[in-house]
Amino acid sequence: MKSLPDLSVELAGLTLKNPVMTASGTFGYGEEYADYIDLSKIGAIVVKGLSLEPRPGNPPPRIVETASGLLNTIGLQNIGVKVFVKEKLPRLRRFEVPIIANVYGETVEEYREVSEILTESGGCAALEINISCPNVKKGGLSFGLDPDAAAEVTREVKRVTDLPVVVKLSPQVMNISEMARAVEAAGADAISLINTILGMAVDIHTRRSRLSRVMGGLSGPAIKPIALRLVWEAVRAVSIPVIGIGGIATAQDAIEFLIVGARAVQVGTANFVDPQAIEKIIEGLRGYLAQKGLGSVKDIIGTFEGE
Amino acid sequence: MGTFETRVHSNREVAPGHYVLSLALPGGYPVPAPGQFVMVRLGVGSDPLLRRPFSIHQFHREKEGARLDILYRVVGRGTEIMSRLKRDAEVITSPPGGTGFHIPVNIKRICLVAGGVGVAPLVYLAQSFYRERGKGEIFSYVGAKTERDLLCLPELKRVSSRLTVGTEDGTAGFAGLVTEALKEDLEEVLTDQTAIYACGPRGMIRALAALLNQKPVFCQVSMEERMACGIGACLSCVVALKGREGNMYYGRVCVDGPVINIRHVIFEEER
Repeated sequence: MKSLPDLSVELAGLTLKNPVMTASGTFGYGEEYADYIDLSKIGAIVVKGLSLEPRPGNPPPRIVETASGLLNTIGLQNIGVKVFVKEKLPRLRRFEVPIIANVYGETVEEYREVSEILTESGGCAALEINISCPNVKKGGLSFGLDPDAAAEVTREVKRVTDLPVVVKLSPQVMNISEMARAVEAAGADAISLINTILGMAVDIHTRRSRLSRVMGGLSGPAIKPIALRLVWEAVRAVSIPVIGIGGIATAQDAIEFLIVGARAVQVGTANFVDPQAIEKIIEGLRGYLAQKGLGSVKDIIGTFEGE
Repeated sequence: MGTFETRVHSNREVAPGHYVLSLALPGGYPVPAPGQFVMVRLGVGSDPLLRRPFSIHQFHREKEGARLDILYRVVGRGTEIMSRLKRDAEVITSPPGGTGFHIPVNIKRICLVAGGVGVAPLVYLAQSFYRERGKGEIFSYVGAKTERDLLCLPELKRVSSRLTVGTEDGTAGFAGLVTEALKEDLEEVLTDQTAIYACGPRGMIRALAALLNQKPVFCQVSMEERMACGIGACLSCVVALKGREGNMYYGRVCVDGPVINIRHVIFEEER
């Protein structure tokens, strides 16, 4: 009998048992899913974005469904990094899955302080720096639209941590390659993309936004082709690993990202549709490799043949 | 225990635009507490994308498996698709979720306040209370915009000691809001062994909160908000609630609710 295909990948100094992670903001602090899925089977868990102090988030309604998509304006509601480190992280560590903390700040200083606390606490495998959240007034996306600002945040975080630093990029830029190169030059160990795409939905009876804010971030299968294109461009621009995100709901979706060169992928909105989606994607990926007679997932990463 | 494959047993229109979807559940499906909800997936593709939450309207154990009823009003794409489900169609359903109604041990009388399709979880609550505390009394206040939107009157009549009906247009029963009907009876309804349970439009909940403001009565409401994951992770379905120190926070309808003490709800004008 042939052995099962090897799904493990190396990513910024980490060895992941498979390349399928959760996307920040869609998997809570991990334990919410523990009743539905064996967390130790996941490549890595990326937790909800953490700020220095707790944030209440935006008023409801925070979501509206659109065609094959989901618009959200959660507004980074979170318990704050200190409570996370004290209460959530010890519980999460029992699950034997790498934890990647997603870091958010309104200022460069806040990014640095949150990163420092997470580094000193121990227990995180890496940091993902969120410079791409579209739903907050300050920070977030404002750092993600300007390559110089993005580079500055990356450099400052790198100064205070020895953990691998993943910088999560926004699709709202004219030139993703320039942005990817800017954070690579500033010391990023990997990049992940895409965060949500700004969108709108209007109630035709009240003529008001269907969200509590005018705009929200679009996620879900609707954005996958755009995400795939941006990941492909980013892969060609940098030599650090790229993590593909955007509308991945099936193993086939994940495989497409791997083929264009993503070293790993993150599954987001699909977790809401089916709490076991990640497990199914990992199994589907293994089945695909077995069917193709491939011994390792590395045999498909970056094998895109073009037109 | 993630999801269950269930089958449509029946799906019938019980009032204009209102349906009862009855799902045949496999054995091993957990018995829900009144007030809990289920997430229902309405397709296999990506449109509609998200599962939809519905409060549990009725639940019966059967020889094999069980039956779960959902009472719903067609309000959008999801419920429109749902209304076209035929017998034997497969429906992926979550286990019961959220926090249900709590009836303190000293309570001898429950008073139900229902607005429109909000009557759905209160019927299950009334039937459970009737079965388990046969000597208790149930006072039901059921309101709707107009007579033909009044729901579940036979079911409630069977178990209620008193049933009061109200319509906003006066086509049946008390003419006006159901909370106004309750206001007229309030002194008589309230004893120190009465608890109130409500579900309905936000305006009804707000009026009820104002009515009970100074009364030392236990009152829980079932809340509604757009929901994505249904398990507490996505922070979509939040409502503004009062914390222990009177601070405002956004609680999740899916795990902190859907049943919430009415005194913890913060209404828009209080923010």
